[in-house]
Amino acid sequence: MTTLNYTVRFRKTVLASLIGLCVSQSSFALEELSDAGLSETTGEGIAILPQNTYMVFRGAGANETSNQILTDRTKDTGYINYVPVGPLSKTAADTNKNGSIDSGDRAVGKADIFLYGLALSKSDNDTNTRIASTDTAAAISSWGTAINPWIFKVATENSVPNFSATNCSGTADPSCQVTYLALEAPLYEVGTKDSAGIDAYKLKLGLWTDIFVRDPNKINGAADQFNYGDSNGLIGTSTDTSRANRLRLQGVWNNFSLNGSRLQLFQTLGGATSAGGMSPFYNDTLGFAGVVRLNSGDASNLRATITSNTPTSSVGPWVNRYSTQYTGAPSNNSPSADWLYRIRSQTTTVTSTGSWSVPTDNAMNNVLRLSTRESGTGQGNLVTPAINGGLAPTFDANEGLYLYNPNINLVLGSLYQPLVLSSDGKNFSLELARIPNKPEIYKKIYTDYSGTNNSYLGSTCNVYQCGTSVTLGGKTYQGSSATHSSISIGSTVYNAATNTLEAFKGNSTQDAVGISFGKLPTGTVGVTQTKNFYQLQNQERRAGSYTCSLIFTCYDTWQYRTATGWTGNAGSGLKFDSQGANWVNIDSTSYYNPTVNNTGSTTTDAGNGTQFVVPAGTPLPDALYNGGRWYTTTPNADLNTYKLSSSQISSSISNNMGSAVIDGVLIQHLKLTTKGL
Amino acid sequence: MKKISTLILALCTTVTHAELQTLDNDALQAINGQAGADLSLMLNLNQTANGVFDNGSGGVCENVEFCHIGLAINKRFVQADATKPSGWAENSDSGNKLWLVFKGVQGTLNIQKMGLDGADLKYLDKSNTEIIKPAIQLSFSAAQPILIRNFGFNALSIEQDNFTSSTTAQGSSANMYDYAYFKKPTYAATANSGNQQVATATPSAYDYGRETGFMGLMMNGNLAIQGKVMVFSCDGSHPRC
Repeated sequence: MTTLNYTVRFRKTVLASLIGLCVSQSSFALEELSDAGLSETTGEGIAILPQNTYMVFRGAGANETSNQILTDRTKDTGYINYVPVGPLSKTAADTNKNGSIDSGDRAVGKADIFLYGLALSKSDNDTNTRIASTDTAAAISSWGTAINPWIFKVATENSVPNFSATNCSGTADPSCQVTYLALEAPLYEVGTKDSAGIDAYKLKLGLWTDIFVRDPNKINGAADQFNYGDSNGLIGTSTDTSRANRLRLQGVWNNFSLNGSRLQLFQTLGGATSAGGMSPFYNDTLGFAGVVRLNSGDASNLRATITSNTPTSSVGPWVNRYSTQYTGAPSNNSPSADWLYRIRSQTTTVTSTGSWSVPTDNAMNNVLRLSTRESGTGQGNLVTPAINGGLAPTFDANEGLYLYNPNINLVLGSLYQPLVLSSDGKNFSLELARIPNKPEIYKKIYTDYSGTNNSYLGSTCNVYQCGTSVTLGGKTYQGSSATHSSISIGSTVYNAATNTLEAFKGNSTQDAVGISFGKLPTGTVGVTQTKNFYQLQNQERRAGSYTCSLIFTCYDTWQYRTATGWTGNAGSGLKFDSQGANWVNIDSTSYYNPTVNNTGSTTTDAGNGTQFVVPAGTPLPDALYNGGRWYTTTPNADLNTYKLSSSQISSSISNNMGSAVIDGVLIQHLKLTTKGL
Repeated sequence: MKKISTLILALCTTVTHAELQTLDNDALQAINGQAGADLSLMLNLNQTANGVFDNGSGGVCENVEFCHIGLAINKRFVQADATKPSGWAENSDSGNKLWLVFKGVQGTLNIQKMGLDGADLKYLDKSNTEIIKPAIQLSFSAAQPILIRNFGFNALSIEQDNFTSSTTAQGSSANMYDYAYFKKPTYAATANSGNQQVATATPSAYDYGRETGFMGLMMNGNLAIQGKVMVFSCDGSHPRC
């Protein structure tokens, strides 16, 4: 008989208890969860609430202190590389579209994209930092609240219309039930935001990128892999060491929120056939639906101020413009009709002033900025830290494309209009299902803007509302049931009655801001415009009597126009002053061209009058010169007619492109297909 | 003793232990806070210890087909169709099943420190009663970043099985290379139909030897994350659930 050696010795009492436990247990078994059982779930999930958080993707290396991480931006070299696998397709390589790749096609390369230093934090309102420099400034204190957190959940929606011709029979109809997995951001709060979750509306995203044109015929890591030219017929062999085949870009986005965003993943409903523009590929496959909301906030008070002042006028001195150089007698030896002038002009300058003041609204801090210029000496044109090592570049503080207060609300499908993936075995397509000709579905999507037919349930998702609002713990939040997308940049006008958004077009005292090339000027910018008017006058003399002297020399004499008429014969020589010639207003003259440079001159009055000095002249602004004549121009008596208009003032801010809105976008059907994979 | 043991075993195997009870909020709150745990996690997937794809001789990915991840979406097939440029027509019911295959999946992920604690959160539930909710608190420190080394995949490709399946029946083959996710074509030095370079006639030394596909993705760096994440159950009483 074998003796058993126990490594554990049971006491009898323990043994007894164990037996007791074993027999007294009731028995349970895991049961299969049917679809019907799942569809009864009310939607419980996991709530996620990030607090005091920020992140930044640093270069691979030793651990750093948080102070180093926040203050040293040159180590933001952690990267995500999009690797361009696969040869260029014929579609890409056949640049002249003649159906073949030949000597007429330019050399095209592959895009090698490095995305660096991805940083998500709280906004410091600086458009040239990718993350704030202190822990307090950078940390998102609470991204959502306990009552309004991020949620990862599974839920079932009943009465979702399917693609078939038959309507749902009721909430229990299994062909109209969709169980979905959803990731939901905190909801977007209406009105004054809960202070606990306020940082969720002040996010900051920063990153920078190097995008290369890669020679497809150089192995990865070759010294000349980016020295690629674009010569015709030399795909894979064109070489140009001088080409800067790199786009270096920085993106900084201040004060945006993700609140209200939602992604749903589910199995699509069935019923679609090839009829009516539909596709059987919509049926029972993986479907996505998303509401992507990237909002900066209300922009109805984002207005630049325009001020236009009452114009003033000033009258300048008379300036001599022309005098005949003909100082002698009129043409000798025959009767003459010579007629000579002096001309002068007086300038009246009307000065119109105004100013353009940048909006004082806080929304000016809400900026999405893309910039390319480096500051300082910069780095080489073809280097990047992922390949060559080294530091992240520093970017110029003011250059680039500024998008002020962007509000982007994209509705991409729904449980009854899913986004599906398809493939023909090589290429793939992303398709947002066509809205079927089925009232049960399209009435859920289309909007009746007149408001007369409330059976159309669609609406637009914008920063003010997104479908039906919900109340949680006494606070109101925007929903996520809207069906139309809206994108606005800068100053907007919101019509709450129709839930429509328009770009602000400016008025006499306010201007729109939104898209700007380079940073908008700060503070107030003065605008001055002058307008010149010219009063022309002349003095005249004409040939007088024809006289023959005793020594048989015959000549004309001059007569000068005075205030009362013509003088008698005043002999030869220039005697305008000494003969008391009168200045008279004239309407026009052909003796002076104010639009060209004029040479000065000096002529002396032979009768001992003052010298007549004509200064050299550059073209006179605003002078009216037409048909070879310079015309007198006079300002209007009411100077307010010269007041600067708002458009004159706003156009002086030459980099301000104003605001832009795309509102009420409904995607009826969208299919994106790749080519040549 | 042996008999008794046998008896115990016999008794225990006939019944099933299942005395799991619902942990309600009250019970969880009754637990006094204790210092949590600091966790560290090092994930090394298909790489050598220094973060390089382990496809050398004797490496885990010496046979690269074993370093693939394939995903198939419901109702996506192709059937041979000579009228199509690719020779295949999409079909939603039957045919050769399509797979989205991630090739050369690899990466080293080193979470140096993740704090695991408990914390209470307060909110108003659906009946507007304030409740105290215990939550798991995961905390991260920027000073101990998550080290990410060559994390990603070499190529993403759409492949198809060499046998037919349908929405109701899964086909099979004795040859593992008939399964889409085991296919491992690579780009040859010159264009040929087997490596999908037919349409291009483009020399591509860059792609030579790589597994076919259309894009790869690779991450490298130290992901510095500061802060904490509260994770709690969003039960039916929570206004959002």
